[in-house]
Amino acid sequence: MNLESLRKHRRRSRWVEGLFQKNPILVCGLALPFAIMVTNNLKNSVSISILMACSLIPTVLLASLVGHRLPKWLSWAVYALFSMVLVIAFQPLTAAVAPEVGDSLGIYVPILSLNTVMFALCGRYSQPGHRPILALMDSLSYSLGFALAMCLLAAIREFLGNNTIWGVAVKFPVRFTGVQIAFSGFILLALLAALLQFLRRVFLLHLYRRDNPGPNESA
Amino acid sequence: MKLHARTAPHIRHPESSRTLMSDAIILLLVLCVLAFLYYGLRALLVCAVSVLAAVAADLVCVLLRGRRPNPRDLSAVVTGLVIALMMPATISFTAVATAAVFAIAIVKHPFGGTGSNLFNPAAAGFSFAAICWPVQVFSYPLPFDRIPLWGQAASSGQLVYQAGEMSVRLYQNPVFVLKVGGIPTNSLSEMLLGNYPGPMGATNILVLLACLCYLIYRGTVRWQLPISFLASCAAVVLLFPRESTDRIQSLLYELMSGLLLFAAVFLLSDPVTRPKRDSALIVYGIFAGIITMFCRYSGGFEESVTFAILLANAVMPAIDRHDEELHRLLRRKRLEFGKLKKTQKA
Repeated sequence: MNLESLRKHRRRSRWVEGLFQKNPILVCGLALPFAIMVTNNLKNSVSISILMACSLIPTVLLASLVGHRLPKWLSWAVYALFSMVLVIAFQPLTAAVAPEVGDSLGIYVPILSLNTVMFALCGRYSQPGHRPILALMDSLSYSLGFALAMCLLAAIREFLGNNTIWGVAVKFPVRFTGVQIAFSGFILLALLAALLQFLRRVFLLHLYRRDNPGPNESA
Repeated sequence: MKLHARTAPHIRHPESSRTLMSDAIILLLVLCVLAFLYYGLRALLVCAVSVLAAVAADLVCVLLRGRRPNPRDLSAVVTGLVIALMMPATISFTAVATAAVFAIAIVKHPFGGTGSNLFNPAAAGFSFAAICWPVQVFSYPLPFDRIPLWGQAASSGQLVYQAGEMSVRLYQNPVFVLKVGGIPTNSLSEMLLGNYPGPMGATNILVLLACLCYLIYRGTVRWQLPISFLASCAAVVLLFPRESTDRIQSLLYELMSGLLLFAAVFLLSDPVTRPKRDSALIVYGIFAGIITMFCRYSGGFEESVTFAILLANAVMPAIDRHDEELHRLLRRKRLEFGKLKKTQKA
Protein backbone atom coordinates (compact mmCIF):
# COMPACT_ATOMS: atom_id res chain seq x y z
CA MET A 1 0.00 0.00 0.00
CA ASN A 2 1.67 3.22 -1.17
CA LEU A 3 0.42 6.25 0.78
CA GLU A 4 3.16 8.67 -0.29
CA SER A 5 0.86 10.93 -2.35
CA LEU A 6 -1.71 11.07 0.41
CA ARG A 7 0.93 12.01 2.96
CA LYS A 8 2.38 14.64 0.65
CA HIS A 9 -1.09 16.06 0.07
CA ARG A 10 -1.73 16.19 3.81
CA ARG A 11 1.57 17.99 4.45
CA ARG A 12 0.90 20.53 1.73
CA SER A 13 -2.74 21.10 2.60
CA ARG A 14 -1.84 21.79 6.24
CA TRP A 15 -1.03 25.38 5.21
CA VAL A 16 -4.45 25.98 3.69
CA GLU A 17 -6.57 23.57 5.71
CA GLY A 18 -9.14 26.25 6.54
CA LEU A 19 -10.03 26.61 2.89
CA PHE A 20 -11.47 23.15 2.16
CA GLN A 21 -10.17 20.41 4.47
CA LYS A 22 -11.35 22.12 7.66
CA ASN A 23 -13.61 24.79 6.23
CA PRO A 24 -14.97 26.65 9.28
CA ILE A 25 -18.59 26.58 8.06
CA LEU A 26 -18.94 23.54 5.81
CA VAL A 27 -16.75 21.10 7.74
CA CYS A 28 -16.28 22.41 11.30
CA GLY A 29 -19.80 23.86 11.66
CA LEU A 30 -18.49 27.10 13.20
CA ALA A 31 -20.08 30.57 12.85
CA LEU A 32 -23.39 29.07 11.77
CA PRO A 33 -25.59 32.08 12.71
CA PHE A 34 -23.80 34.09 10.03
CA ALA A 35 -24.01 31.28 7.49
CA ILE A 36 -27.77 31.02 7.98
CA MET A 37 -28.97 34.54 8.70
CA VAL A 38 -26.63 36.75 6.73
CA THR A 39 -26.44 34.83 3.47
CA ASN A 40 -29.64 36.31 2.03
CA ASN A 41 -27.61 38.20 -0.52
CA LEU A 42 -24.07 38.39 -1.79
CA LYS A 43 -23.41 41.95 -0.59
CA ASN A 44 -24.10 40.97 3.01
CA SER A 45 -21.84 37.94 2.74
CA VAL A 46 -18.93 39.82 1.23
CA SER A 47 -19.23 42.56 3.87
CA ILE A 48 -19.30 40.14 6.77
CA SER A 49 -16.42 38.15 5.26
CA ILE A 50 -14.29 41.30 5.01
CA LEU A 51 -15.08 42.19 8.61
CA MET A 52 -14.32 38.63 9.69
CA ALA A 53 -10.91 38.65 8.00
CA CYS A 54 -10.07 42.08 9.41
CA SER A 55 -10.89 41.01 12.96
CA LEU A 56 -9.80 37.37 12.87
CA ILE A 57 -6.26 37.65 11.49
CA PRO A 58 -4.92 40.25 14.00
CA THR A 59 -6.74 38.62 16.94
CA VAL A 60 -5.31 35.16 16.23
CA LEU A 61 -1.87 36.69 15.72
CA LEU A 62 -2.22 38.45 19.07
CA ALA A 63 -3.22 35.17 20.70
CA SER A 64 -0.20 33.37 19.25
CA LEU A 65 2.19 36.14 20.36
CA VAL A 66 0.97 36.95 23.87
CA GLY A 67 -1.67 34.31 24.60
CA HIS A 68 0.58 32.02 26.65
CA ARG A 69 1.70 34.95 28.84
CA LEU A 70 -1.82 35.99 29.78
CA PRO A 71 -3.79 34.24 32.54
CA LYS A 72 -6.50 32.08 31.03
CA TRP A 73 -9.38 33.91 32.72
CA LEU A 74 -8.20 37.19 31.24
CA SER A 75 -7.14 36.01 27.80
CA TRP A 76 -10.69 35.47 26.42
CA ALA A 77 -11.77 38.94 27.51
CA VAL A 78 -8.68 40.43 25.87
CA TYR A 79 -9.33 38.61 22.58
CA ALA A 80 -12.98 39.64 22.58
CA LEU A 81 -12.20 43.28 23.36
CA PHE A 82 -9.44 43.39 20.76
CA SER A 83 -11.74 41.82 18.17
CA MET A 84 -14.51 44.29 19.07
CA VAL A 85 -12.21 47.25 18.55
CA LEU A 86 -11.18 45.87 15.17
CA VAL A 87 -14.78 45.25 14.09
CA ILE A 88 -15.73 48.82 15.02
CA ALA A 89 -12.66 50.21 13.30
CA PHE A 90 -13.23 48.31 10.08
CA GLN A 91 -17.02 48.66 9.95
CA PRO A 92 -16.88 51.65 7.53
CA LEU A 93 -15.44 49.20 4.97
CA THR A 94 -18.90 47.64 4.65
CA ALA A 95 -20.28 50.97 3.45
CA ALA A 96 -17.76 50.80 0.62
CA VAL A 97 -19.22 47.46 -0.46
CA ALA A 98 -22.79 48.79 -0.44
CA PRO A 99 -24.28 51.59 1.67
CA GLU A 100 -27.43 49.61 2.57
CA VAL A 101 -25.47 46.67 3.98
CA GLY A 102 -24.96 48.32 7.39
CA ASP A 103 -28.72 48.30 8.02
CA SER A 104 -29.37 44.80 6.72
CA LEU A 105 -26.55 43.24 8.77
CA GLY A 106 -27.91 44.78 11.96
CA ILE A 107 -27.01 42.83 15.09
CA TYR A 108 -24.69 40.47 13.21
CA VAL A 109 -21.86 43.04 13.06
CA PRO A 110 -21.39 43.32 16.85
CA ILE A 111 -21.89 39.55 17.21
CA LEU A 112 -18.98 39.04 14.82
CA SER A 113 -16.51 40.09 17.50
CA LEU A 114 -17.47 37.01 19.54
CA ASN A 115 -17.55 34.37 16.84
CA THR A 116 -16.63 30.72 17.33
CA VAL A 117 -14.01 30.65 14.56
CA MET A 118 -11.99 33.25 16.43
CA PHE A 119 -12.29 31.46 19.76
CA ALA A 120 -11.34 28.10 18.21
CA LEU A 121 -8.19 29.51 16.60
CA CYS A 122 -7.26 31.69 19.59
CA GLY A 123 -7.65 28.65 21.87
CA ARG A 124 -5.35 26.63 19.61
CA TYR A 125 -2.62 29.27 19.23
CA SER A 126 -2.59 30.62 22.77
CA GLN A 127 -0.84 27.39 23.83
CA PRO A 128 2.96 27.68 24.01
CA GLY A 129 4.99 26.04 21.24
CA HIS A 130 2.94 27.24 18.25
CA ARG A 131 4.66 29.27 15.57
CA PRO A 132 3.09 32.68 14.79
CA ILE A 133 3.57 32.05 11.06
CA LEU A 134 1.23 29.06 11.34
CA ALA A 135 -1.26 31.22 13.22
CA LEU A 136 -1.09 33.80 10.46
CA MET A 137 -1.51 31.21 7.70
CA ASP A 138 -4.35 29.49 9.53
CA SER A 139 -6.25 32.69 10.26
CA LEU A 140 -5.81 33.68 6.62
CA SER A 141 -6.99 30.33 5.27
CA TYR A 142 -9.90 30.16 7.73
CA SER A 143 -10.95 33.68 6.73
CA LEU A 144 -10.81 32.68 3.08
CA GLY A 145 -12.70 29.45 3.78
CA PHE A 146 -15.35 31.41 5.68
CA ALA A 147 -15.66 33.89 2.82
CA LEU A 148 -15.85 31.11 0.24
CA ALA A 149 -18.65 29.26 2.03
CA MET A 150 -20.56 32.46 2.79
CA CYS A 151 -20.34 33.71 -0.80
CA LEU A 152 -21.34 30.33 -2.21
CA LEU A 153 -24.37 30.10 0.07
CA ALA A 154 -25.34 33.71 -0.60
CA ALA A 155 -24.95 33.43 -4.36
CA ILE A 156 -27.19 30.36 -4.50
CA ARG A 157 -29.81 31.81 -2.15
CA GLU A 158 -29.87 35.20 -3.86
CA PHE A 159 -30.07 33.65 -7.32
CA LEU A 160 -32.82 31.17 -6.49
CA GLY A 161 -34.74 33.34 -4.03
CA ASN A 162 -34.52 36.75 -5.72
CA ASN A 163 -33.31 35.95 -9.24
CA THR A 164 -30.49 38.44 -8.76
CA ILE A 165 -26.71 38.28 -8.29
CA TRP A 166 -25.14 41.22 -6.45
CA GLY A 167 -28.45 43.02 -6.84
CA VAL A 168 -28.44 42.68 -10.64
CA ALA A 169 -31.45 40.90 -12.09
CA VAL A 170 -30.72 37.55 -13.75
CA LYS A 171 -33.27 35.96 -16.05
CA PHE A 172 -34.57 32.70 -14.60
CA PRO A 173 -38.05 31.27 -15.14
CA VAL A 174 -38.79 30.34 -11.51
CA ARG A 175 -38.33 32.24 -8.26
CA PHE A 176 -38.16 30.16 -5.06
CA THR A 177 -38.84 32.78 -2.39
CA GLY A 178 -38.72 30.03 0.24
CA VAL A 179 -34.95 29.77 -0.24
CA GLN A 180 -34.58 33.15 1.49
CA ILE A 181 -35.86 31.94 4.86
CA ALA A 182 -33.50 30.65 7.56
CA PHE A 183 -34.86 27.09 7.35
CA SER A 184 -33.74 26.81 3.72
CA GLY A 185 -30.36 28.19 4.74
CA PHE A 186 -29.89 25.19 7.03
CA ILE A 187 -30.90 22.78 4.26
CA LEU A 188 -28.62 24.40 1.71
CA LEU A 189 -25.74 24.44 4.19
CA ALA A 190 -26.22 20.72 4.87
CA LEU A 191 -26.30 19.94 1.14
CA LEU A 192 -23.13 21.94 0.48
CA ALA A 193 -21.38 20.31 3.45
CA ALA A 194 -22.32 16.87 2.09
CA LEU A 195 -21.11 17.87 -1.38
CA LEU A 196 -17.76 19.04 0.00
CA GLN A 197 -17.32 15.77 1.94
CA PHE A 198 -18.14 13.81 -1.20
CA LEU A 199 -15.68 15.77 -3.37
CA ARG A 200 -12.97 15.44 -0.73
CA ARG A 201 -13.49 11.69 -0.56
CA VAL A 202 -13.38 11.39 -4.36
CA PHE A 203 -10.15 13.42 -4.47
CA LEU A 204 -8.45 11.31 -1.78
CA LEU A 205 -9.61 8.13 -3.49
CA HIS A 206 -8.18 9.42 -6.76
CA LEU A 207 -4.80 10.09 -5.07
CA TYR A 208 -4.82 6.62 -3.50
CA ARG A 209 -5.77 4.87 -6.75
CA ARG A 210 -3.03 6.72 -8.66
CA ASP A 211 -0.38 5.22 -6.41
CA ASN A 212 -2.10 1.87 -5.88
CA PRO A 213 -3.59 0.70 -9.18
CA GLY A 214 -5.86 -2.34 -8.91
CA PRO A 215 -4.86 -5.72 -10.37
CA ASN A 216 -6.82 -5.06 -13.59
CA GLU A 217 -5.30 -1.61 -14.14
CA SER A 218 -1.70 -2.77 -13.50
CA ALA A 219 -2.14 -5.65 -15.94
CA MET B 1 -27.37 -31.19 10.58
CA LYS B 2 -27.66 -28.71 7.72
CA LEU B 3 -28.43 -25.13 8.79
CA HIS B 4 -30.00 -22.58 6.45
CA ALA B 5 -28.98 -19.00 7.22
CA ARG B 6 -31.69 -16.46 6.35
CA THR B 7 -31.60 -12.71 6.79
CA ALA B 8 -34.25 -10.84 8.80
CA PRO B 9 -37.22 -10.34 8.90
CA HIS B 10 -38.11 -13.85 10.08
CA ILE B 11 -41.70 -13.05 11.02
CA ARG B 12 -43.87 -13.06 7.90
CA HIS B 13 -46.95 -10.86 7.69
CA PRO B 14 -49.34 -10.36 4.78
CA GLU B 15 -49.10 -6.58 5.22
CA SER B 16 -46.07 -5.02 3.55
CA SER B 17 -45.01 -1.56 2.53
CA ARG B 18 -46.42 -2.30 -0.91
CA THR B 19 -49.88 -3.27 0.36
CA LEU B 20 -50.00 -0.21 2.64
CA MET B 21 -49.05 2.07 -0.23
CA SER B 22 -51.47 0.30 -2.60
CA ASP B 23 -54.33 1.00 -0.18
CA ALA B 24 -53.41 4.67 -0.09
CA ILE B 25 -53.03 4.83 -3.88
CA ILE B 26 -56.47 3.29 -4.47
CA LEU B 27 -58.08 5.97 -2.31
CA LEU B 28 -55.98 8.76 -3.75
CA LEU B 29 -56.99 7.66 -7.26
CA VAL B 30 -60.64 7.92 -6.20
CA LEU B 31 -59.95 11.49 -5.11
CA CYS B 32 -58.17 12.11 -8.42
CA VAL B 33 -61.27 10.99 -10.30
CA LEU B 34 -63.41 13.33 -8.18
CA ALA B 35 -60.96 16.15 -8.88
CA PHE B 36 -61.28 15.37 -12.61
CA LEU B 37 -65.08 15.56 -12.35
CA TYR B 38 -64.92 18.89 -10.48
CA TYR B 39 -62.04 20.63 -12.24
CA GLY B 40 -61.58 18.83 -15.54
CA LEU B 41 -58.50 17.53 -17.27
CA ARG B 42 -56.17 20.05 -15.65
CA ALA B 43 -56.62 18.34 -12.28
CA LEU B 44 -55.39 15.06 -13.76
CA LEU B 45 -52.50 16.82 -15.44
CA VAL B 46 -51.42 18.38 -12.12
CA CYS B 47 -51.54 14.91 -10.50
CA ALA B 48 -49.55 13.38 -13.36
CA VAL B 49 -46.86 16.08 -13.22
CA SER B 50 -46.54 15.68 -9.45
CA VAL B 51 -46.28 11.89 -9.59
CA LEU B 52 -43.81 11.96 -12.48
CA ALA B 53 -41.62 14.52 -10.70
CA ALA B 54 -41.70 12.51 -7.46
CA VAL B 55 -40.90 9.20 -9.17
CA ALA B 56 -38.10 10.73 -11.26
CA ALA B 57 -36.57 12.42 -8.20
CA ASP B 58 -36.82 9.15 -6.28
CA LEU B 59 -35.10 7.23 -9.06
CA VAL B 60 -32.27 9.78 -9.31
CA CYS B 61 -31.77 9.83 -5.53
CA VAL B 62 -31.74 6.02 -5.32
CA LEU B 63 -29.12 5.83 -8.09
CA LEU B 64 -27.06 8.60 -6.46
CA ARG B 65 -27.05 6.63 -3.22
CA GLY B 66 -25.70 3.63 -5.09
CA ARG B 67 -28.79 1.49 -4.52
CA ARG B 68 -30.77 -0.60 -6.95
CA PRO B 69 -34.20 0.92 -7.80
CA ASN B 70 -37.03 -1.05 -6.20
CA PRO B 71 -40.08 -1.21 -8.49
CA ARG B 72 -42.18 -2.49 -5.57
CA ASP B 73 -41.63 0.74 -3.62
CA LEU B 74 -44.68 2.88 -4.36
CA SER B 75 -44.08 5.55 -1.71
CA ALA B 76 -42.97 8.15 -4.28
CA VAL B 77 -46.29 7.71 -6.13
CA VAL B 78 -48.21 8.27 -2.88
CA THR B 79 -46.13 11.37 -2.08
CA GLY B 80 -46.74 12.77 -5.56
CA LEU B 81 -50.48 12.14 -5.42
CA VAL B 82 -50.86 13.56 -1.89
CA ILE B 83 -48.99 16.75 -2.84
CA ALA B 84 -51.07 17.22 -5.99
CA LEU B 85 -54.38 16.68 -4.19
CA MET B 86 -53.53 19.31 -1.57
CA MET B 87 -53.05 21.92 -4.31
CA PRO B 88 -55.66 23.89 -6.25
CA ALA B 89 -56.30 22.77 -9.83
CA THR B 90 -54.87 26.06 -11.09
CA ILE B 91 -51.46 25.60 -9.50
CA SER B 92 -48.56 26.02 -11.91
CA PHE B 93 -46.81 22.84 -12.99
CA THR B 94 -43.48 24.28 -11.83
CA ALA B 95 -44.81 24.74 -8.29
CA VAL B 96 -46.22 21.25 -7.99
CA ALA B 97 -43.15 19.62 -9.53
CA THR B 98 -40.86 21.61 -7.22
CA ALA B 99 -42.89 20.53 -4.19
CA ALA B 100 -42.62 16.87 -5.25
CA VAL B 101 -38.87 17.09 -5.92
CA PHE B 102 -38.31 18.90 -2.59
CA ALA B 103 -40.28 16.20 -0.77
CA ILE B 104 -38.26 13.37 -2.24
CA ALA B 105 -34.77 14.84 -2.71
CA ILE B 106 -34.56 17.01 0.42
CA VAL B 107 -36.89 15.45 2.98
CA LYS B 108 -36.97 11.73 2.17
CA HIS B 109 -33.64 10.54 0.82
CA PRO B 110 -31.13 12.53 2.92
CA PHE B 111 -32.65 10.81 5.99
CA GLY B 112 -32.26 7.32 4.51
CA GLY B 113 -35.11 6.92 2.02
CA THR B 114 -38.29 4.91 2.36
CA GLY B 115 -39.01 3.90 5.94
CA SER B 116 -36.34 6.12 7.47
CA ASN B 117 -37.56 9.66 6.86
CA LEU B 118 -38.06 11.72 10.00
CA PHE B 119 -40.54 14.16 8.46
CA ASN B 120 -43.52 13.52 6.24
CA PRO B 121 -42.23 14.25 2.71
CA ALA B 122 -45.61 15.33 1.31
CA ALA B 123 -46.22 17.76 4.20
CA ALA B 124 -42.75 19.24 3.75
CA GLY B 125 -43.16 19.52 -0.03
CA PHE B 126 -46.50 21.28 0.33
CA SER B 127 -45.10 23.61 3.02
CA PHE B 128 -42.20 24.56 0.76
CA ALA B 129 -44.58 25.34 -2.09
CA ALA B 130 -46.80 27.34 0.28
CA ILE B 131 -43.82 29.46 1.38
CA CYS B 132 -42.57 30.00 -2.18
CA TRP B 133 -45.91 30.61 -3.92
CA PRO B 134 -48.55 31.44 -1.26
CA VAL B 135 -50.91 33.23 -3.67
CA GLN B 136 -51.00 30.29 -6.08
CA VAL B 137 -51.29 27.64 -3.40
CA PHE B 138 -54.06 29.31 -1.39
CA SER B 139 -56.38 30.57 -4.14
CA TYR B 140 -58.78 28.09 -5.66
CA PRO B 141 -61.15 27.90 -8.65
CA LEU B 142 -64.83 27.09 -8.21
CA PRO B 143 -65.80 23.48 -8.93
CA PHE B 144 -67.20 22.92 -12.46
CA ASP B 145 -65.44 26.04 -13.81
CA ARG B 146 -63.81 25.41 -17.16
CA ILE B 147 -60.10 25.57 -16.47
CA PRO B 148 -57.81 25.81 -19.50
CA LEU B 149 -54.97 23.29 -19.53
CA TRP B 150 -52.11 25.73 -20.11
CA GLY B 151 -52.36 28.99 -18.28
CA GLN B 152 -50.71 31.41 -15.92
CA ALA B 153 -51.84 30.90 -12.34
CA ALA B 154 -52.58 33.72 -9.91
CA SER B 155 -49.71 36.13 -9.48
CA SER B 156 -49.04 39.60 -8.10
CA GLY B 157 -51.98 39.37 -5.73
CA GLN B 158 -54.66 39.06 -8.44
CA LEU B 159 -56.90 36.04 -7.99
CA VAL B 160 -57.18 35.18 -11.65
CA TYR B 161 -55.99 32.22 -13.70
CA GLN B 162 -55.22 33.47 -17.18
CA ALA B 163 -54.88 31.39 -20.34
CA GLY B 164 -54.79 33.51 -23.47
CA GLU B 165 -58.06 35.41 -23.54
CA MET B 166 -59.77 33.05 -21.14
CA SER B 167 -59.60 33.81 -17.45
CA VAL B 168 -60.90 31.91 -14.45
CA ARG B 169 -61.70 33.75 -11.25
CA LEU B 170 -60.06 32.31 -8.14
CA TYR B 171 -61.49 32.33 -4.61
CA GLN B 172 -60.36 31.80 -1.03
CA ASN B 173 -61.15 28.73 1.02
CA PRO B 174 -63.63 29.09 3.95
CA VAL B 175 -60.66 28.67 6.26
CA PHE B 176 -59.39 32.05 5.03
CA VAL B 177 -62.73 33.65 5.93
CA LEU B 178 -62.40 32.16 9.42
CA LYS B 179 -58.82 33.42 9.63
CA VAL B 180 -59.83 37.03 8.93
CA GLY B 181 -62.64 36.82 11.48
CA GLY B 182 -65.59 36.34 9.14
CA ILE B 183 -68.29 33.69 8.86
CA PRO B 184 -68.18 31.45 5.75
CA THR B 185 -71.29 31.68 3.57
CA ASN B 186 -70.95 28.13 2.20
CA SER B 187 -73.73 25.78 3.22
CA LEU B 188 -72.69 22.72 5.20
CA SER B 189 -74.30 20.32 2.71
CA GLU B 190 -72.23 21.88 -0.09
CA MET B 191 -69.15 21.45 2.05
CA LEU B 192 -69.96 17.80 2.65
CA LEU B 193 -70.13 17.25 -1.11
CA GLY B 194 -67.05 19.34 -1.86
CA ASN B 195 -68.88 21.97 -3.88
CA TYR B 196 -66.81 24.95 -2.74
CA PRO B 197 -63.40 26.40 -3.66
CA GLY B 198 -60.64 24.40 -2.07
CA PRO B 199 -57.75 21.99 -2.59
CA MET B 200 -58.48 19.41 -5.33
CA GLY B 201 -58.69 16.37 -3.09
CA ALA B 202 -59.55 17.83 0.29
CA THR B 203 -62.99 19.35 -0.19
CA ASN B 204 -65.20 16.28 -0.47
CA ILE B 205 -65.73 15.55 3.22
CA LEU B 206 -68.00 12.55 2.72
CA VAL B 207 -65.50 10.80 0.47
CA LEU B 208 -62.67 11.60 2.87
CA LEU B 209 -64.64 10.11 5.76
CA ALA B 210 -65.28 7.01 3.65
CA CYS B 211 -61.54 6.82 2.89
CA LEU B 212 -60.78 7.04 6.60
CA CYS B 213 -63.25 4.23 7.37
CA TYR B 214 -61.73 2.07 4.63
CA LEU B 215 -58.17 2.60 5.88
CA ILE B 216 -59.21 1.87 9.47
CA TYR B 217 -61.04 -1.27 8.31
CA ARG B 218 -57.99 -2.43 6.36
CA GLY B 219 -55.75 -1.78 9.35
CA THR B 220 -53.59 0.66 7.40
CA VAL B 221 -54.56 3.42 9.82
CA ARG B 222 -55.07 2.89 13.55
CA TRP B 223 -58.28 4.60 14.63
CA GLN B 224 -56.60 6.11 17.69
CA LEU B 225 -54.61 8.60 15.63
CA PRO B 226 -57.17 10.39 13.43
CA ILE B 227 -59.83 10.26 16.14
CA SER B 228 -57.59 11.79 18.81
CA PHE B 229 -56.33 14.36 16.30
CA LEU B 230 -59.81 15.44 15.21
CA ALA B 231 -61.12 15.32 18.78
CA SER B 232 -58.35 17.59 20.07
CA CYS B 233 -58.93 20.00 17.16
CA ALA B 234 -62.65 19.99 18.00
CA ALA B 235 -61.93 20.58 21.70
CA VAL B 236 -59.76 23.60 20.88
CA VAL B 237 -62.46 25.01 18.58
CA LEU B 238 -65.18 24.49 21.19
CA LEU B 239 -63.09 26.12 23.90
CA PHE B 240 -61.82 29.00 21.78
CA PRO B 241 -64.15 29.46 18.77
CA ARG B 242 -63.06 31.94 16.13
CA GLU B 243 -66.62 32.48 15.01
CA SER B 244 -68.33 33.73 18.14
CA THR B 245 -71.97 33.35 16.99
CA ASP B 246 -72.43 29.59 17.17
CA ARG B 247 -69.90 27.15 18.62
CA ILE B 248 -71.25 24.10 16.79
CA GLN B 249 -71.32 25.90 13.45
CA SER B 250 -67.80 27.14 14.09
CA LEU B 251 -66.71 23.58 14.91
CA LEU B 252 -68.17 22.21 11.67
CA TYR B 253 -66.61 24.93 9.54
CA GLU B 254 -63.21 24.47 11.17
CA LEU B 255 -63.20 20.70 10.75
CA MET B 256 -64.60 20.67 7.22
CA SER B 257 -62.59 23.50 5.68
CA GLY B 258 -59.03 23.46 4.47
CA LEU B 259 -56.81 20.42 4.66
CA LEU B 260 -57.66 19.27 8.18
CA LEU B 261 -59.51 16.05 7.37
CA PHE B 262 -57.26 15.22 4.42
CA ALA B 263 -54.23 15.60 6.68
CA ALA B 264 -55.82 13.37 9.32
CA VAL B 265 -56.38 10.62 6.73
CA PHE B 266 -53.28 10.78 4.53
CA LEU B 267 -50.54 12.80 6.23
CA LEU B 268 -50.77 12.15 9.93
CA SER B 269 -51.27 8.41 9.53
CA ASP B 270 -48.10 7.93 7.47
CA PRO B 271 -46.72 4.64 8.88
CA VAL B 272 -43.13 5.92 8.91
CA THR B 273 -43.61 9.18 10.81
CA ARG B 274 -46.25 8.08 13.31
CA PRO B 275 -45.49 6.47 16.68
CA LYS B 276 -45.62 2.69 17.05
CA ARG B 277 -47.83 2.02 20.11
CA ASP B 278 -51.55 2.79 20.37
CA SER B 279 -51.14 4.89 23.52
CA ALA B 280 -48.38 6.89 21.83
CA LEU B 281 -50.68 7.38 18.83
CA ILE B 282 -53.26 9.05 21.08
CA VAL B 283 -50.68 11.38 22.65
CA TYR B 284 -49.27 12.16 19.19
CA GLY B 285 -52.74 12.85 17.78
CA ILE B 286 -53.65 15.20 20.64
CA PHE B 287 -50.35 17.03 20.35
CA ALA B 288 -50.71 17.38 16.56
CA GLY B 289 -54.31 18.59 16.93
CA ILE B 290 -53.45 21.30 19.45
CA ILE B 291 -50.45 22.46 17.41
CA THR B 292 -52.56 22.49 14.24
CA MET B 293 -55.20 24.71 15.79
CA PHE B 294 -52.55 26.94 17.32
CA CYS B 295 -50.90 27.33 13.90
CA ARG B 296 -54.29 27.98 12.29
CA TYR B 297 -55.20 30.63 14.86
CA SER B 298 -51.91 32.47 14.99
CA GLY B 299 -49.90 31.30 11.95
CA GLY B 300 -49.12 33.41 8.92
CA PHE B 301 -51.03 31.22 6.49
CA GLU B 302 -54.70 30.32 6.73
CA GLU B 303 -53.89 26.64 6.26
CA SER B 304 -50.97 25.53 8.43
CA VAL B 305 -51.81 21.91 9.14
CA THR B 306 -48.78 20.71 7.17
CA PHE B 307 -46.47 22.91 9.26
CA ALA B 308 -48.09 21.53 12.43
CA ILE B 309 -47.57 17.97 11.19
CA LEU B 310 -43.88 18.70 10.57
CA LEU B 311 -43.60 19.99 14.14
CA ALA B 312 -45.39 16.91 15.46
CA ASN B 313 -43.05 14.69 13.38
CA ALA B 314 -40.09 16.28 15.15
CA VAL B 315 -41.58 15.39 18.54
CA MET B 316 -42.64 11.86 17.52
CA PRO B 317 -39.38 10.03 18.50
CA ALA B 318 -39.58 11.57 22.00
CA ILE B 319 -43.23 10.50 22.36
CA ASP B 320 -42.33 6.98 21.22
CA ARG B 321 -39.39 6.74 23.62
CA HIS B 322 -41.27 7.99 26.68
CA ASP B 323 -44.24 5.78 25.88
CA GLU B 324 -41.94 2.74 25.68
CA GLU B 325 -40.37 3.67 29.02
CA LEU B 326 -43.81 4.05 30.58
CA HIS B 327 -44.89 0.64 29.27
CA ARG B 328 -41.71 -0.99 30.60
CA LEU B 329 -42.30 0.58 33.99
CA LEU B 330 -45.90 -0.63 34.05
CA ARG B 331 -44.84 -4.15 33.00
CA ARG B 332 -42.20 -4.24 35.74
CA LYS B 333 -44.69 -3.04 38.35
CA ARG B 334 -47.22 -5.64 37.18
CA LEU B 335 -44.60 -8.40 37.49
CA GLU B 336 -43.56 -7.21 40.92
CA PHE B 337 -47.20 -7.04 41.98
CA GLY B 338 -47.78 -10.62 40.66
CA LYS B 339 -44.74 -11.93 42.54
CA LEU B 340 -45.90 -10.19 45.72
CA LYS B 341 -49.34 -11.80 45.38
CA LYS B 342 -47.78 -15.25 44.87
CA THR B 343 -45.60 -14.90 47.98
CA GLN B 344 -48.59 -13.69 50.00
CA LYS B 345 -50.62 -16.72 48.85
CA ALA B 346 -47.72 -19.07 49.66
